[in-house]
Amino acid sequence: MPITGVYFIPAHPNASTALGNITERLRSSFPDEDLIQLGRWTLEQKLMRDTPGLLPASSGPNQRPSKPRYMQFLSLSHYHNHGFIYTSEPAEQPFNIPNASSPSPAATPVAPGSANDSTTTSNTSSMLMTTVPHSSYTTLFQHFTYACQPFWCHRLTVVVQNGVFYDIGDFRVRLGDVRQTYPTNRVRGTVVEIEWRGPSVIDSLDGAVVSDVNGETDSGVDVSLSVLEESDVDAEFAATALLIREFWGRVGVEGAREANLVPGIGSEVKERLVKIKGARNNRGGLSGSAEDNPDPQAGADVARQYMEVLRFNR
Amino acid sequence: MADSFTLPLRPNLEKSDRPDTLPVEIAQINEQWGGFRDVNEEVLLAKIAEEEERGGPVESDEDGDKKDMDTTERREELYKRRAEITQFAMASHMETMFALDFVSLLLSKHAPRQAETSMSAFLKQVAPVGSLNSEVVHPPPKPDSVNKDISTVSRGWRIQNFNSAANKLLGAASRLEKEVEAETKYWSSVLAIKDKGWKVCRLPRERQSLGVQYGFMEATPAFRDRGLASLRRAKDGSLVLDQGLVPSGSRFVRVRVKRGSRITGCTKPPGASSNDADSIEQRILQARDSVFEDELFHELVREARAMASCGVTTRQNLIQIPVADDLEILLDLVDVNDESLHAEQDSSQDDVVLAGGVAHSIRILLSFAHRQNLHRRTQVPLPLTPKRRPNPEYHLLRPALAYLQHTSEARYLESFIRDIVSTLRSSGFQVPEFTAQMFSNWKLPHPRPSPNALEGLISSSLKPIESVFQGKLLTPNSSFTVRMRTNMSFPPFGTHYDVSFNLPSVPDLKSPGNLSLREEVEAAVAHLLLLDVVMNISSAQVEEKPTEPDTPAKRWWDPIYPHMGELLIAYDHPEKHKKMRIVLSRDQLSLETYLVRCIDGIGIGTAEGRSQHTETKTWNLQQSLGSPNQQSSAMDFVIAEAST
Amino acid sequence: MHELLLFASVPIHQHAELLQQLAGLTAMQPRHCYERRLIFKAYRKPGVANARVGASQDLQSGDLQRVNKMLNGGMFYTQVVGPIQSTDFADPSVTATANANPDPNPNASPLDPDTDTKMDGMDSDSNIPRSAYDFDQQSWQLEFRDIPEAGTRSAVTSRVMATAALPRGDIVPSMNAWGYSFVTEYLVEGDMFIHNDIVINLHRVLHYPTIPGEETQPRHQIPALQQMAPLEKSGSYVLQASMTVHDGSNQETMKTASQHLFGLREQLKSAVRLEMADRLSLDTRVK
Repeated sequence: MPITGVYFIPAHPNASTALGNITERLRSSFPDEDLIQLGRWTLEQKLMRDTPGLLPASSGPNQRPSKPRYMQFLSLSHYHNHGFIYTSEPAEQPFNIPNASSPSPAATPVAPGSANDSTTTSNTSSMLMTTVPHSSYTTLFQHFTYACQPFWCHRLTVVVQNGVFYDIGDFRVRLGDVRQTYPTNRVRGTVVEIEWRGPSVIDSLDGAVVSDVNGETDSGVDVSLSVLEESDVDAEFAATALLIREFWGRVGVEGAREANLVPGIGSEVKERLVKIKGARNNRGGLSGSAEDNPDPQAGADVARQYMEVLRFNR
Repeated sequence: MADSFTLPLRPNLEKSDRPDTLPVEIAQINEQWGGFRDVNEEVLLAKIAEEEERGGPVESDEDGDKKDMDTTERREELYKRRAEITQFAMASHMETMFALDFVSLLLSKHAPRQAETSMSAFLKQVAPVGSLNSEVVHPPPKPDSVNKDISTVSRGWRIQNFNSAANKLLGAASRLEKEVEAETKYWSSVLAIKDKGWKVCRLPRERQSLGVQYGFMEATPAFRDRGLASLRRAKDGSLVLDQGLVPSGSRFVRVRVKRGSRITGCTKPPGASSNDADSIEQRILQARDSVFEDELFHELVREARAMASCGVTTRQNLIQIPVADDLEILLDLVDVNDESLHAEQDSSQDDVVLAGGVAHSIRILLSFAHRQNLHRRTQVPLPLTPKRRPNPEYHLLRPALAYLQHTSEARYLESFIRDIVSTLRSSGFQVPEFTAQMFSNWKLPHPRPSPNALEGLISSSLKPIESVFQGKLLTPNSSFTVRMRTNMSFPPFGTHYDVSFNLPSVPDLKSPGNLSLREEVEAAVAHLLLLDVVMNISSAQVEEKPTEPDTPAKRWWDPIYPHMGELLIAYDHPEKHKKMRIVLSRDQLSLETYLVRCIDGIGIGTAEGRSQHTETKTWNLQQSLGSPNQQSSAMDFVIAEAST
Repeated sequence: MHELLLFASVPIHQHAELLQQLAGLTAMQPRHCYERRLIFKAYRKPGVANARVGASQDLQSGDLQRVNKMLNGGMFYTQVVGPIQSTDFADPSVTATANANPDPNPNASPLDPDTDTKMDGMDSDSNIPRSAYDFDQQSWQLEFRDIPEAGTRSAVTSRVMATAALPRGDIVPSMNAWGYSFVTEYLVEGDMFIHNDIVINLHRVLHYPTIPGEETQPRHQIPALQQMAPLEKSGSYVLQASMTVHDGSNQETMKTASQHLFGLREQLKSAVRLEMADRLSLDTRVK
């Protein structure tokens, strides 16, 4: 899973966007590189809010103003196998879990190492990432608009329709204009995704999983993994974030909203690390060789970053 | 029921020969005249007169009487008759009443109240109720002769009746026996069929008769429904396979291989496997084979139409597939018993095998398509939508065609590379052996037998076919790879080559990448080998130098235009340089040296100012078959030319 | 999407025979399947639904009305369904040991990785206390079914449905975040047939043996099949014939679909009586 950073440059509704400006800056900042458009990409984000949160806050003295909750649906053409759903953690535990406040083990329901590690996620962020197969993405959105009206309300849809991407050195840069299509049509701004494509420790994890599936585990990879700790992953993310910031600094576009080390970033990587370490003692080929989607969680980090910058409040 | 039989329940009534009774006459009059109302004297008279007028002397004695009588007489007569009729009626009424009284009186002993109601008043007066009784009396014994007569007659009647009854029963029994025999025969043959494993069931539209299912459940509906024939019983109980309107002859898809204009291979009709060709089993098998072959041809035509872009042509009953070069495959549906098929052709063994292979593969692929249909049918269906789902053609011809094309292309490429390498060898270059991996992406399935292994094997043959040719070159660390893929199932169709080189000594060399014509591949490989030879000659300097100490270092071949196959030795004289031109083709390598007069010798074409003084040496492919030592090697020539 | 259904009750003694009849009708072997069915209930913050709303400057009155209408919209139970294999059930011969040493809450324990490794160690000793069932690899799909449409004149049950694949493993955190809380779970065992566009299910509901403290979470292990008890004590099955229609507003396809179902009803007439279900018995609304 590559490490990325996402920048968003807002624009006034009827003004032109910064897209041309950024392209020009890229050209001038990296004169050695051919800025060749490698292809197109698209994005779609649907933002839902909790319906009760839409009521005016001054509705009563007994009702404390609650934190708004969001559910964001994101689909990226470069991760076309699945869609991303990013949801605020529930404000309170559902009623049927007893003694939610007590520190009994039952309150932390999920064992670490499971596919959706809510305990680690909730420690670092208040949002929960779920990746669903692409076929379910639309169905689930329709389900929430149809059957969950008392608690979810569709607020916005923004899209990037004609994004372009370039390779600049070890970076891949994706650019695109963000347009709002629901409830009204308007320009929102420009989004830039910078992906580090240079060497990274995290890539070795991908390789490890693949070789594990094939049942021909390379012992060399194993050794390197055994010394890899979660802190190393964090350090890797931090270091790469610096590289990305430096890159963005060279482009030098002002007024951008940055999403780089967003909360919860890298949790899938850490999870995988745990899994691989566990899998060494475990039986091999466990992670579903018949899976049609080779990596159902790919791109969760970049999806987080997009959703952080695109969470508009009207 | 063959013939109905009836038991006599009552004796035949004798025909009475009495003249027509009154009711008959009345009916006749009604019929003739339309009721008595319309019959009066005038009408009758008019009728008679009419008939008389017509000349027919309808003379009767009655008429004569009437004529004799005058009106009063006739009236009297009429009254008299009427009185007579009345009298008769009265008399009969009296008699009836007497009979009624009598019966009533008789019954009044037992049921007085009921009987009283039907008694006449007179009777009630004269006779008290219940005054009459009845008793059974035995008749006086008849004379013996009469009794004997009666018993004889009745015995005769009985015997006659018994005889006829016995005849009828015997007839019925033998008929039943025949019927039972026939039924037994029928059912035992039905059971025999069932024991052979055929599915016997009731016909869906004719619930009372049996049918046998021999067709293929997963075939196209039209052919699936044809796979059911009813098992009818003939008169004698033998089983008749009734296929309805389907013609019963057996047909098969014939595969012919055509080279140029000659048919060189043809599949034979499947011979009758068993000697009792008329057994019901054989007929079912034949019906099954026919429906399979019909479906096969139907699907072949469907697929062939979709393959029109590949040059496949279909006519009413013929599919023509151009494969490669002059090879063509013809498919048609013919009758097994067609005598004209056995006309001998000038066939070659290879092509008979080829035709057989194609014939088998299309049948295997159709069976595979059936299995795929079963697989698809038993999946959870997609939601119902108004639009109809397309019914794609089966892959029957395409894999076979892909294989044939691929084989042909691969053989051609292999022979080309072998030839050009041999040519080089004949000139003394020690070109390493190349390897050809045919069908490299066809892997044998796991040795462990599994139910899906077979299907896996076949579905792998539906994928694009890939062959790889690899070889090392003369120059160290250099190699070439030609990867060819043939694909008929989805675009891009045809054979595509991926040619990649690794020749570090030519720095700006780019691999040609994807090519789609064999001529382009030929050219690319020949060009690569030419470059290799050029580089080899130019680099040989290093090795040769110690052995040729007199040769100055600069006087060695310098590849000025390696892509043109041109090397140069620059002499000190500015307008006199020695140039060598290498031409490499499939079966010839020629080295030509000549002097050029242009400055630095770098001009090409007419600009090089070529002198007439040329030395040419050629090596041909054929010579390589003999011993290569007969001729001097190319390197010797090169060295010799360099040193002069 | 819409779903059209017909149901019939099949007593246990008819089950084997009906299986054969269906196999003959559909020309396929029955596909035996087990499904875990988790029931989730939509929950809402207590007190919000009937909160009095005062005047507002932020929202226009139309908007406010819309929000209020949404707040009072229907909420539903929904199911999360995961297919399992017969090998996922625990081995009945060794469950006694597993029961003798019950872990009060084996799944919520933070020491779970350790117990996992311990289990794996025991695996290699070929002393298997539990099945090879791996909860983290369990695939799931969300199955939403609305209450059947009321007042339809046709004699089939028809309802709005949605089915969406979910990620593998523990689905509860995601479901919680989306507004659903876990209620309970049960197991469905049965056979499936496909007849043209109709899916025929002959199934029955099985209950897990009750272990106190397990009700708040989906099970991470499956008990032995023998320990499961049918919901219907007589062991009878339900025959369900269903068809899905992509666009429920298209009368033509809906009609075609119900005609297909009626065709099946006619074909099975001598064996079972397929009929529409009582609408309220299929009510999925949260009251």
